Amino acid sequence: MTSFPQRNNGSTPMRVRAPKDFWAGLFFVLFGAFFAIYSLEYSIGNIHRLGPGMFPFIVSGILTGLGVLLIFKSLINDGDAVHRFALRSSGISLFAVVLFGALIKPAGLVISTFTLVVLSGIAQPQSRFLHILALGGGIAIFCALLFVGVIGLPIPIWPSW
Amino acid sequence: METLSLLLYGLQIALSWENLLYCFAGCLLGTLVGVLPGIGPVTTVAILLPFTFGLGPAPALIMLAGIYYGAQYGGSTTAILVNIPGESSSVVTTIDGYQMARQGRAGPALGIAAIGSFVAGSFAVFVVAYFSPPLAEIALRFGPADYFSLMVMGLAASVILASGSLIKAIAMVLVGILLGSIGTDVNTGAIRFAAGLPQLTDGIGFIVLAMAFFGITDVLVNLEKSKEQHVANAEIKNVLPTMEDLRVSAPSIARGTLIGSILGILPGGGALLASFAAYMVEKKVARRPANFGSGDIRGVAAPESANNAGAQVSFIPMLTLGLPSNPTMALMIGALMIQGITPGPGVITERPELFWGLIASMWIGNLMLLVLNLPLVGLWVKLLSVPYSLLFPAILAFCCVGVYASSNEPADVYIVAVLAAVGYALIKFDCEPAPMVLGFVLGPMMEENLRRAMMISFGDPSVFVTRPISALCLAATLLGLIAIAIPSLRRRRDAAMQE
Amino acid sequence: MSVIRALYTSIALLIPFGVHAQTFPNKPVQIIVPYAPGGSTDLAARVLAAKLTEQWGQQVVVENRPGGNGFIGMSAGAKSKPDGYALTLGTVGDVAVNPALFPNTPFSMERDFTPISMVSDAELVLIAGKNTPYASVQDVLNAAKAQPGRLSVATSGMGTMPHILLEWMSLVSGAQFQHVPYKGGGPAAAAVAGDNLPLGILAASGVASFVKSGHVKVIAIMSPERSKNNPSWPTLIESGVKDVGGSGWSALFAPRGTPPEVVAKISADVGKALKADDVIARFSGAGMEAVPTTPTELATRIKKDRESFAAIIKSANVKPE
Repeated sequence: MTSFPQRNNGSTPMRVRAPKDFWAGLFFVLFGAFFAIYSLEYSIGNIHRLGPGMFPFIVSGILTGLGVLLIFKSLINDGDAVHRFALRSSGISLFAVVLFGALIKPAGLVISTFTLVVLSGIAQPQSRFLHILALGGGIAIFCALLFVGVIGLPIPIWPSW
Repeated sequence: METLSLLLYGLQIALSWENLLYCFAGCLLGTLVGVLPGIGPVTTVAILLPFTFGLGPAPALIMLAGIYYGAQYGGSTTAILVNIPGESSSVVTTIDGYQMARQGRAGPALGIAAIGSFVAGSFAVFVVAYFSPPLAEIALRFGPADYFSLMVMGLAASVILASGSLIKAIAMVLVGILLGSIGTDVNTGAIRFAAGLPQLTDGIGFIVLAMAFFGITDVLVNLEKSKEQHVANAEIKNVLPTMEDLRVSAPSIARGTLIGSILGILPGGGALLASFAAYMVEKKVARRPANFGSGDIRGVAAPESANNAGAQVSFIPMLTLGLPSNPTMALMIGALMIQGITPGPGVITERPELFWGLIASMWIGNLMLLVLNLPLVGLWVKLLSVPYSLLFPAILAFCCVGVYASSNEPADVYIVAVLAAVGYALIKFDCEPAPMVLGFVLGPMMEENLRRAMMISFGDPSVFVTRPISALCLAATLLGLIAIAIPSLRRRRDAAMQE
Repeated sequence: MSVIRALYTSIALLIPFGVHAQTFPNKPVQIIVPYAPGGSTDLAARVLAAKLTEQWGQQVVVENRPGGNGFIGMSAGAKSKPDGYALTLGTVGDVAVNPALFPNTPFSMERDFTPISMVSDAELVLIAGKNTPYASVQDVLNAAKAQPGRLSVATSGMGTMPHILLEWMSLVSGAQFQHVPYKGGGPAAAAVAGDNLPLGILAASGVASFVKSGHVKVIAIMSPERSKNNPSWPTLIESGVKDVGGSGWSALFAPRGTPPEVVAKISADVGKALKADDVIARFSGAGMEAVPTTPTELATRIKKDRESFAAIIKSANVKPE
């Protein structure tokens, strides 16, 4: 995994020993720093009237500190490696979710649900395409009957052209 | 004695065929929408509201209440089976419940959740019947300083939800607080961290967060595994809890019920605090705590009892103070007001048929739910034997429809996708989502009350130690922190000496 | 209802789109509410929607689009197709306060909306906790003048009608208060009843039960005239606070560009619905009065309120941070 260039002063080499902690720490630092900087946009206020910036600034400051601590720890203590990401299946699934969001207003419940199911079905390489199509149709109709028919949600079933 | 005869009077009202029918309809519908991820009781009650115009106040409230606690039962099913908490109070259930399901023990988990909920619900009915006025008075006394300190206590203790690293758990709580602070600031109207997106001006909804970090993240994690490793393939040992399960869970159910009955009176966060306080207590009193987090039945029994007791007890602030603990209850208040009844201190004496009828119907409803849910356990367990390749597209579809239905806002679906990607990465780094949800729900309340407390006290922070409830919570937090810190200090010192 | 709906849906599944007819409405009508379910605006919308469904024989659905001080719902309403099938129920806060309070409101009443009819009006009251020494408006004003900014007043939130009335009262009387916004009227009422802070300006319906139980007392009604239901409450104006008076109203709008004959039909039908006995009863249960108006009357009212509120907001220097 990621390794830092070694210092040549002979003592302990700087190396990420606990990748999970290192990456988690990095996430917390970035997330915390983002919110800390962003919260400077809002007034800090005073002790009587705390501004909208004060509380998030303190919280994100502590978070950043914890992130730094985790990164340090990850350089000292040994820990687990990060298991590989299933980029293909997760990418396809998340794209399917996004597509659902894009389709639901213009295309209605049936088409968007069908698309979501079929597309995400491809994420799992074992499944057969015909099965997925059938599943997509089934779930789409089931959703329309259940959510709009029985529960009565105000979602259009078909496109409104 | 008088209360008992009033309860009998309520029972007569609740047992009228009309009210029984509406109670059953509510419970059934509630279970259905509770099971569906994302479709909560709020949406359902909102849609059914016009339908209640034609009913009297008692049947209307009995039905809506049935939807509310029916959804609690249904929600635990989804939490256990597919790791999706429909409401914040079932987040804790996912921790051990889902692990049990993966080990083929979904049946006992669902069974104990139903039984625990029933016991808790029955007990809570008596709490509501006997202690409503004094408890309402206590809830009324809770000022902003007290709420703040209670939230501090809750958040400080929330790290115990995580089974892994303490630092990561604390950091996740803070991440949750920051995510919760997105949106419109109550105190100033300022819109924070919305990055110019109008869809973020109301903040991220709980449904969005739960679907992203639990439902969809879990699907992504499961998709990594080869076919053989899926939930479905775990051997199903037994469908209902064994006598041994019941014996182990009984004290947990009792403790959970008690905790839920106390914390449930707090409007806002009561049921959530109850469920996780119960979990925390179990973790502390258990002889073999090593099992928590990896499928301990007590980790299902206690929080499920607590959140159901809490859900029922939260009718006290709703009916007697007009304080809704959650959006569903806000709608119930609306339904009552349309009928010409304003919830408030007088409602018990002015509308006894409504108050006692509702209480009695809650007990009947709980019985119906038990009868309804135990046979369903077998069906749900069978659902898990559906191949995952067929199950997960359905989970995604239900999550997406649920998210969209909760706001009619396509952007919420995009936010889910982004958060799910983050959640997936965080799982990879061993960062657990449960503490984050707690921060997300409690954090904004903590900030709001902190700022309000400072405003009302004109900048004098001593209110936090001079108000008794607040001082008590802070002292407990401090003691707890010391208790956690001392052993680890000692360990560190020991370790240092060994070197 | 479920079975019928299920049947209806199955049929709808087979017929992808409806046929356009000459008469309005020939398909479901939507009312956008820029608030979460459960609030008084939402209740008003649902009662009205149920009645219109009955009158029109077409589903009238309420769609909640809460968030961002009502901006999300109002923007959605502004962007809807101007055909009368997407209406918006806005409050005095959305229509007359926010445009003056926020520098860049994402919608404009003139550019984006056509008024249809006013829908509901709710009385607001000034209340004090039972343990406070205040019995009249004068007591409150004197106490606030003796300790400027040290009297806390709870309201249902930033930029709501109670907030504006508080600023207005300060401006006219010269007494300074500390505004403490809550997330809605319920928690604010309970805070005053629980002695967390001494005063509140809130919807009369929301505090009624605490008044009855003796937890709080009503100091004044915030409307310009005394209440029909509670004529014993003095108004601010008669207590010497000149001109200050207002209430929490809501009104129905269509997107600008909706055909005038459709607007006229909706306005007439809404007027009819709001005069129905059951609607009046449901509104009054929820502490509101049904107040149908013509589009012109509504436009006049909006103009008047906007001008006076803008002046107050400017003089009192109220700003979101």
